Amino acid sequence: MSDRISPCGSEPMLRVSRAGFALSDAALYLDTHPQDAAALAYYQKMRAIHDAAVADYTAQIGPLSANDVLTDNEWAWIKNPWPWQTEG
Amino acid sequence: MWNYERRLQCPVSVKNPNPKLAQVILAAYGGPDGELGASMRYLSQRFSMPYRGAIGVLTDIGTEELGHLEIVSALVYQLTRNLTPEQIENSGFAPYYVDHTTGIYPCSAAGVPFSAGAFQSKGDPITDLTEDLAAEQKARTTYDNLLRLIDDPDVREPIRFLRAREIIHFQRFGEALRNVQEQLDAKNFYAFNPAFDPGAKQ
Repeated sequence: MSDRISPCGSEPMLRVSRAGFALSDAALYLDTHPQDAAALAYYQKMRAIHDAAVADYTAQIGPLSANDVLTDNEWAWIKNPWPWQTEG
Repeated sequence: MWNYERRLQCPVSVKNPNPKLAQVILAAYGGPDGELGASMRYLSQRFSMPYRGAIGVLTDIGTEELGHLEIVSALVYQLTRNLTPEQIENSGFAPYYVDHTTGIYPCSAAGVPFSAGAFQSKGDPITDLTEDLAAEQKARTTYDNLLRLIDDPDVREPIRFLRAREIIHFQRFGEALRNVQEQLDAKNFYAFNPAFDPGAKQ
C-alpha cells in the first residue's frame, strides 16, 4: 500500500482494467457460445493475466475487493480514494 | 449476490466542471432509457427465464449495467464539483441544485424521477428478450444524442465506451433470442409460453 501512486490512473490499475474488460466481454460471449474452443482458450489466458494484475494492484496500492484486504493494523478497504474521487 | 470491485469499468477523470452537461448526462443514469432501468429490467426478468444460457446473459449484462450507472454517476459527480453560484444560475442547473444540491439522484434530463414504468418484466422469454433488444437500441440512441452535445474529450470517451457496450449487448441478446427460438416449435414460436405453460419447455 502506498499513498504516492494515484489508484485510478496508475499502471497497475490500467492492467487490471484491460484484463478485467477482456474477461467480462469474453464471459458474455461465452454465455451464447458455450462450446467455442477459441473463446474458452482466450478466457483462460486472460484470466491468468487478470489474476496476476489484481495481485499486483493489491500488493502495490490496495484491495480491489473487501475479500482481498490484507489486515495488519488497519482496515485498508477505506483508505484509498473511491473510484469516482479522481483529481480532475 | 454481488461483491463490489473498487474500480470503474471505464476510468472517469473530468477536469472542467459543466453543470449544463451534468444535467443531460443524468438521463443515462435514471432516465427512461438509462442504466438503472436497464439493470433492473434484466435482473428482474431472469427469474422466469426457463433457459440457463439466457439467464446467464441477463445476469451478466444486468451486472455490467450496475457498473455503467456507476460510470454515469461519476461523470455527473465530477461535472458538478466546485461549482460557483454564478455557474449554477447561468447553466439551467438551478432547479436540480435546489432539490438535490450536487447529490446524485436518478432522474431524467427533464428532472422526472426514475420510474420502473420505463421497463417491463413480462414473464415470456420471446417478449422479454425482444424488449431487451429495443432497450439496448434506445440506450444507444440516448448516447448518440448526448455525443452531439459534448465537446469535452474527458466526457466523450466514457460516453463512447458506454455506447459501444450497448451495441455488444444488443448482439448478445439477439443470440440469446435465437437460442431460445431454437428450443421452441419452429412452425410457431408463439404456440405456448415456455415460462408458464406446464410441460411445454423442451
